Amino acid sequence: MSTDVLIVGAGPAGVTAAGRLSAAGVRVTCLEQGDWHQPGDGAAGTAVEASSNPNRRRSPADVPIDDSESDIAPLMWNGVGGSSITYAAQWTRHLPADFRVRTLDGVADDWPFTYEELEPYYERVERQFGVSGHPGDPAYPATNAPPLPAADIRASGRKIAKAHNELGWHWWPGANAIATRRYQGRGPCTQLGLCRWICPVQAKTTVDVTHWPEAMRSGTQLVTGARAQSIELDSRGRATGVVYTDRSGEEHFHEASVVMLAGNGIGTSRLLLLSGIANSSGLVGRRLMMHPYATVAGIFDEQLESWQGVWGQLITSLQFYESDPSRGFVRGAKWGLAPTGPPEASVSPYPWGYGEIWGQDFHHQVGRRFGHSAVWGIVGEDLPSEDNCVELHPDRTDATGRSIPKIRYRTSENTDRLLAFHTRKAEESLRAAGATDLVVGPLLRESGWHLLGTAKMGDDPATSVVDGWGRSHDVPNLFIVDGSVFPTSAGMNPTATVAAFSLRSAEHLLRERLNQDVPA
Amino acid sequence: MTALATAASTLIPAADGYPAGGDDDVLRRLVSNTSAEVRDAVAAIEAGNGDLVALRRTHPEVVDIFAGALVNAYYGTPAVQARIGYSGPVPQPAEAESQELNELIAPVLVRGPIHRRPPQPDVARGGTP
Repeated sequence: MSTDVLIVGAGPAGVTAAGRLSAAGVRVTCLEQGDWHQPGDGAAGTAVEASSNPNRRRSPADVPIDDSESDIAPLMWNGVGGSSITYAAQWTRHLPADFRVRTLDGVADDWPFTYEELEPYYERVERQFGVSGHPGDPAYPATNAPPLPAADIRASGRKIAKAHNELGWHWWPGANAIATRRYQGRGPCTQLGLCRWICPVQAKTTVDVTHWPEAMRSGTQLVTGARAQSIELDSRGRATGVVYTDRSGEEHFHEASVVMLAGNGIGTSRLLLLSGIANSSGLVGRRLMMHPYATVAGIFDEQLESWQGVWGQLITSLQFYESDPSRGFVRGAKWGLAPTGPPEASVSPYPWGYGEIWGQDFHHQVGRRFGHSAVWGIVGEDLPSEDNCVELHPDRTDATGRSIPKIRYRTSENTDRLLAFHTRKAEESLRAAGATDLVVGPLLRESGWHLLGTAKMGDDPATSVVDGWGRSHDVPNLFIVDGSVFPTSAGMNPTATVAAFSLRSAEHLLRERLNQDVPA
Repeated sequence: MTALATAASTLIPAADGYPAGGDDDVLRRLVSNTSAEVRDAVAAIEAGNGDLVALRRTHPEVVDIFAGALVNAYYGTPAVQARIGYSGPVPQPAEAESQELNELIAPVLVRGPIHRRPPQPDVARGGTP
């Protein structure tokens, strides 16, 4: 088997590139270790049964991850659609300052391109993903409106919006990859509040539904149950293809002119480490960022019907997003307001933290929370540290005998200060809105939805793994198009930037394909 | 009472017209859960005679898994749904009412842009990428 471009990973990053390349006539094959999502396989059905944690889910598609030395458990969905299957579809572009962290704040690194360079790609992927939102947010530079109108911000959003107006704080209707009108044959959203598990009307954009059928009609070949095991190089150091195992454990080699990785910050770096390539910088697997995440839930006396609504984000606030030296830390966090779901969600660690409510007080506590609450989710910017990393486990292997990933991750003092400040401010927000009780989840362990930074992009091969187009400095026909390449994490949900970057890289490859250095 | 019922009723006691977590219907739903980790947790509870205090000392994650599965089963039972007055969300149009939104965001717009404008790379470091 051979192809022009072989992509590893069938999530948003992989399919965005696959769709664009195959539409241009490029022969594309995508290897996906999981399968098509079926209701009942762990991301559907009763709300809290779903788990994004591969160590808990333990499906055949999941490689165990040793997270025993990590403050945060990594989360993901391994299958067609990737983590769009279980994400909340919160759609946030980075801000211009997020691309210039070193220049503005003197920490970490600038990105090798600017917001302005990525902005046209943001607009295009927003149409692909059917993003709903409200135009004119003054937290961003002027840009075109998202393709769909914002979702109802519901009673909780209205209360907090009014409170922020009184406080003089920023808020804005949330942007989500959730179709508020019928869009490209799916939706519209009916506010069932099931976005984190499964959307019965397919209003939430999951790329198995929204992207893959079109990519396959354009000619992309999708191979499921195919776990990439190593990238092979020729004598000139060009990638020749990928060795993968099928469901039975049998090995295959798929030849390709170009290899493109889209396996998230753990899967991609593990594959590079297993292959022993593209690591002259020593940074493959290093600088893992997972967005330390805290919650502050407000409980209100009034009935808010907070089991309904997009989930997603009803409203956002970027009031404290940008750096302010007076706060004692650098960078900031995005807040997204979410509903709190059905009664069974009233006791889950997300968003309620780990406090005990069991026993005699159980029914009273659930009665206070259920329907009467809203939660600020705080996505804190995670600064890169080479000590936070993905490594190959020295002892443990998967079913094929290859090392599983081990992650080492500790939050920093900057993170601790950042989350303490933001949780205090979120409490202030909710109190101003009339909350009579607050529950703080200071740092949720099972919150590693965003796996970033383990194959940093940059201009200098000595200090980065790939260039600004995602091309490996060491292997010129190897690209990485997922969040692994992020030099910094920003404090934003990353799917918008991952998809925009993937599209930008795919188009660069198309423009440069006649000059592409491929195996002899 | 079985070990499983003891543990379930310890976490969710009967009160205020609510059945206990150890109610037969709840336990039927609980043990029908096909998740491997839930099956393992249920087995551990039974092996420990429903002593949650002891199990939490040695395997707190098992108690958390059991409790999560229990609460799912609990709120799936008709008796509990009837008592709490909730049997699921109701479809509602999702689109925001634009006039209301525009009135609410007016003060945000009045305050103006809040993002920083970084210098462009050619100014900041002498060249574009």
